[in-house]
Amino acid sequence: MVRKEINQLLAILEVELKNILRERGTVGFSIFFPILISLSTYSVGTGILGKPPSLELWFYQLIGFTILMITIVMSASSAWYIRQGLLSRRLEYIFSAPVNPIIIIASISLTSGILGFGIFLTVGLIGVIVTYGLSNLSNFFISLLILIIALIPILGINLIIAAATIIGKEPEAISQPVSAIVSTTSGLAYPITILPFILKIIGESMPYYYAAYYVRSIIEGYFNILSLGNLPFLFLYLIFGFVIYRYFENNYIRKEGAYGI
Amino acid sequence: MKEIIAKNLTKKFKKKVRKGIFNTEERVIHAVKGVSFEVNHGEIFGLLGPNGAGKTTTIKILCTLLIPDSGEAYIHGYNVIKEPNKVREIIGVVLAPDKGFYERLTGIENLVYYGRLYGMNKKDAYKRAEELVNLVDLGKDAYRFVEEYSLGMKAKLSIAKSLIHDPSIIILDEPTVGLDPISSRKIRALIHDLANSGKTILITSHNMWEVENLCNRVIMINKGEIVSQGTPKELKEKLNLSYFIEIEVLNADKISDYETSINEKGNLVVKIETQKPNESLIKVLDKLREKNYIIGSIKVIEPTLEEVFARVIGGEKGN
Repeated sequence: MVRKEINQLLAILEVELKNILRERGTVGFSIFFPILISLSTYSVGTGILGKPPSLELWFYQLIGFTILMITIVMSASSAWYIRQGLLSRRLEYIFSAPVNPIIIIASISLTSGILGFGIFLTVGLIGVIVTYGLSNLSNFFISLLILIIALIPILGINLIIAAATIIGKEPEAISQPVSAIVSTTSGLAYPITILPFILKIIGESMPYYYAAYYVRSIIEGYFNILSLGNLPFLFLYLIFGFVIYRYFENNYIRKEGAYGI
Repeated sequence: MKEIIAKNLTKKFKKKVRKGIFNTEERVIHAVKGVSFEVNHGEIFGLLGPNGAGKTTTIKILCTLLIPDSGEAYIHGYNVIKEPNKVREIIGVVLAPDKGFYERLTGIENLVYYGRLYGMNKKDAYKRAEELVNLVDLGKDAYRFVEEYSLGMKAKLSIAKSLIHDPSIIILDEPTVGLDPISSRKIRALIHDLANSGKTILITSHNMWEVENLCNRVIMINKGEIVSQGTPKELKEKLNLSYFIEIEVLNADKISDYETSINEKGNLVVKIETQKPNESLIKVLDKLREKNYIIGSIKVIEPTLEEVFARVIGGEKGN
């Protein structure tokens, strides 16, 4: 049973990766974007201070923007997968096959996760070597493992995005507000402590913040193992997302025939 | 065994129609109203009806993509609402013959992908995909990107896709729509072969000739309701439609007892409209022989399902 589901997951993953790799420009842009943005803010900081700020500040932003990029791509990819599936009517065929929706969304998120992982590996490696030298490389590789685990709860949010896209049909209307909330409240580009109380609470209750926090703290050496205590709580997102998707599927999607356009 | 059972299926959709800038009006569309039918093992069963009749809604309920408002449906004994995954494992579907593919993958890559979604491992899915591309006559085109395919090639690939997991029941929603006559003929031959190999097939089509030639039994749906059902022959008999007999006479210029015309060879053709073709033919031939006319050829033209459809649906529309 599990073998069948792994096989389904790998099948979707394989075709999605093939599809993405046949458009190499997107991958190139995703690697350069965090470097470009973090260097821009570093330059602005240099201009304001009159001297270059600490490289650690650049690294903070580089990691933040990279994870922001990964999470936005992950969220948008499920919305766009659904949209393209509706337009091409591929979704009707997929859902008339014995596939669990969580497998579909997991594989789409995993596709963008692998893409993101590749981006993080490339960008993060550059950042760590430039900022800390070779000594922090072991921490960097540990942070990669934690990042993979920390990104799993985002699947739950992606399931809700997928259900909302099937019903609403418009991916931008759903993925862009999510991206806006993530970028403003998750402390990916700046410390969450400077945010107003409400935004801080929103940020701290979402899995994106923890993904960046774990990665930064491991690389920079202030990681506290007790902070992993938040992870089980974050996995509630996965359960929550699955329950909501199932509710929408049974009470709206299959009732309204929303798999096609 | 009854492979497909639909019992009193109903489905309505609510649609908001804009009235002015701020107001909307909710319209209820009754897509399916109490549709019931049964399909036997190894049968080709046709679902006929004009656009918006409720054919696709019925098909989507059977494919587990839609939940009916009321009624029940079973595929191979499995309830489509309560046991969707069991149903999905044993059906193959063609919902839009030119859609549902990854355009930037090859035909064979698409087939392997769908095979794996049905739980096959990659090796088996590839082997099966290779068999199917030969079965549907795609040949080397299967190794080209789908974005380069013609409509006919996509239709073939779509049928191959529906067969990838070797389902016992195949549901085809207008599989030949938009195809040229040669591609349509190939698809029809394939459907025929599938039925001969023991598959149960449910097909919807606008092409009456196609349905008449393919289907063992047919139901006609209009405005969500079944308006007629039976074998194509039974449907014709129910409506007492006329047969036309054309007898070519080689040695006459005019016969006053019957309606006549001249054919392309320049011979006289006697035309008779009748509801009892056997009796009428014997009677006319006897009369013609009595007068020593030489018969060149005899043609009996049966009423078509298209006439049945026009009569039944036209009648429903009040035409």
